[in-house]
Amino acid sequence: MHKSLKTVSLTPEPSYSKQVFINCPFDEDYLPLFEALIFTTLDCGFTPRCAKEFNDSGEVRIEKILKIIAECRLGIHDLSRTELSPHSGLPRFNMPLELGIFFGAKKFGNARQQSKSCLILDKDTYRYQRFLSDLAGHDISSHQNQPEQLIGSVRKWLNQYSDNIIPGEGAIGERYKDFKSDLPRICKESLLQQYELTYIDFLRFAGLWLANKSF
Amino acid sequence: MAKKKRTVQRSVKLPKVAAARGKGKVKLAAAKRAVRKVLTAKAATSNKQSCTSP
Repeated sequence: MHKSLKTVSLTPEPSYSKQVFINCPFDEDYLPLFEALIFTTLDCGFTPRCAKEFNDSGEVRIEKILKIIAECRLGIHDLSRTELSPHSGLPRFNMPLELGIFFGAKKFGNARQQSKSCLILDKDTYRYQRFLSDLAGHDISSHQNQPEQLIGSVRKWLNQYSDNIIPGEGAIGERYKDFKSDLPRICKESLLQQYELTYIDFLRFAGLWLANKSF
Repeated sequence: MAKKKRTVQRSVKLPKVAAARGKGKVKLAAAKRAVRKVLTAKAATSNKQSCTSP
């Protein structure tokens, strides 16, 4: 085994306090923000968890989401795609629903669950007041659909829960660009096209890249 | 002579599902090899450029 690979801790499992539930859309338009979010979470020393971890249909989806929420002390909820679908004309409620479950676990759970904390993101700072006014009083960070702004918000928030010094948002942004420029070559080495990457593949590549890269 | 870059040890913890061997299109061992190969090649190129620059 290559010496530097020892820095990647695949076992034991990450602790409750370091796991972050990622509640966000999974559509193509959101992908640049999603990848930046996953990368930033890893670079800050936390473990992202999201519903994309599952690809089998053996278990009811909500059960899997509940299990992940229970295993994560932290949660990042992006409500920026709470809008009417152009196809159905109906709003998308998955993200607000999962945010509600997270709040419920914090309010009614045991001591461990009550230590939960979350960051709520939207594309504009006050847009939520028009569709989720009960959230009034919570700090909402806006990312304006820009990965750089999202990186800054997530980094700033995770910094309060880290025992270590976290790189600045500029440094994380540069690393992210660096990783993205290496990703096509990593895919080529893996005999994959970039569009074929699964979430698990992306997570592995990003984690291994961060662990093995010299900074 | 170019100053040797200090290596910072990183500990990146992946979720259990990403650490499992059977998941994903790329096996974990293959992903490690691919990432290592790209980073090594990049470091070698960077090192070569810093040695040849005046």
